[in-house]
Amino acid sequence: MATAALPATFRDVMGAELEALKAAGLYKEERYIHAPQGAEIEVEFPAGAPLKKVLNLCANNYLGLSSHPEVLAAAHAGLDRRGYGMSSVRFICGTQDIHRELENRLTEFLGTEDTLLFSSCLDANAGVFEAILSDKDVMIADRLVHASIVDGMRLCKAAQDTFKHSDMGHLEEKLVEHADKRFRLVITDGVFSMDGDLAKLDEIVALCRKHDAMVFVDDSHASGFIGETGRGTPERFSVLGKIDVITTTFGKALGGASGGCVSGRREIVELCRQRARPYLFSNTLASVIVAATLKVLDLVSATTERRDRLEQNAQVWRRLLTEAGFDIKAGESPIVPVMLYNAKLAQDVARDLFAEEVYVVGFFFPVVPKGQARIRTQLSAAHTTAHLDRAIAAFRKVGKKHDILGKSKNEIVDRYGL
Amino acid sequence: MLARRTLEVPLPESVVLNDVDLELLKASFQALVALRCERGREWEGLLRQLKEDGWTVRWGLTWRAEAKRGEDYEEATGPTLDDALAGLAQLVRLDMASHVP
Repeated sequence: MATAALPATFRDVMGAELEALKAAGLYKEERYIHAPQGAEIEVEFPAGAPLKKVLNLCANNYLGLSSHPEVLAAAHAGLDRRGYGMSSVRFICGTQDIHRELENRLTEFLGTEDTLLFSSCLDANAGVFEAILSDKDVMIADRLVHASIVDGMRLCKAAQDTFKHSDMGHLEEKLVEHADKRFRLVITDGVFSMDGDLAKLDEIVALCRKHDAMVFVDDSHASGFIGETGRGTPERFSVLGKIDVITTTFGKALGGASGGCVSGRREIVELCRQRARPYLFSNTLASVIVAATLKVLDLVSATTERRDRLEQNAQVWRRLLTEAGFDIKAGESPIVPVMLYNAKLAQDVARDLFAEEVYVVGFFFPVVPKGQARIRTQLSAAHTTAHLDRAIAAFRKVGKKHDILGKSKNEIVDRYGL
Repeated sequence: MLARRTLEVPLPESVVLNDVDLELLKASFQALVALRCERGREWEGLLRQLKEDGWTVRWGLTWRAEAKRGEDYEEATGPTLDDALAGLAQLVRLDMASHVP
């Protein structure tokens, strides 16, 4: 069979770019998982290798609901009752009663006025700014916001500015500097995915009130488990109902499949319904995911048991790592970065942990700043004490092999370089 | 051959210009003349069409700044060089931070 016409030069150029990615250690390889998502999974890596059962410390399965039997049953029932596909965008014939039901449930859960579903939170972030702001306005974002927010800001005609990460003095300077703008929207993640630290949401809200600005929070790494009842960073910082726009995902704690939403002031949500391009020109999330997400909201609203267990697991894991002599980023979220500073060391440690049946991923420049290479561990309510004991034993063994236990940043850098 | 025509622009007496300033001014006026006169008049038709379509069109000369680093590329424009470079710095800064999923 003849191959499609493709300029030879295009193949050469693309091939060279792929080789450059490999040479730079940035080539991403998928690991095939032969099991439902969970605390323990069977992984084929590299492709063709025998299956290996490993402890999973790198999933966003914070509440352990990705394969929960009640969620699976709800998905099956949803499939039976509402079918598989909608074959339409929302505003033509792609909206079922359960789509609106989920929006209403999310509004109640997040403490907002209205909600609009998107097929992902990336889509929500890509569409929301352009829908509600114009060239008369300004977006002022924390410098560590998620990549999808950066993409959304680039699609919007409003002026762009940033403030130093979690620096409230700098944010206030920016609010004053842009006092001439019609609207100022301050943009932050609720929990920052790289370091696992929380935005100072109470201080941000206070500053925005003082300067008559609006607040946007992407709570993807918080919805379902941060705050006393899991309603996210607004609950954690006692500012429920005071956030103008929240975006979040169902692809992490809330079942882990896919989908996201914009939730907030009624007018903002309605403008997104009228103008947000990912909503207007793409199908929304499948009914089966809607049905399962409704069940997830039932589960997280009925009891705080899972978020409590997750919180406890995160505390225990932080203590175990610290006692073992690892250098970790302080914080309260279930994202616990183990700092290694050197890119090759991060890769070697991740590889050795995989050999010890612990699945983690090393991050290094340009994914994180130069000299900030680390392994990002993520806890789940599905982890048991036995899992954490197994994990820390493997970490101790690998840490000892590389002689990094009890070593300060300077000592690690002296030995391995940046 | 057409006679060479020149335009004399008086400068404010208080302004002191060095050679670089004069070169910059000269280059700027030459660019203006080129943009206005030497590239045809097709733009007039485009402008008319846009206005007929209901657009209010403003146009003018602007500073353009670009930054390249490997495969990364950013560009920004502004009414002043400060504005263009500030816009460029902002775009670069948006992606300077690390991004993890």
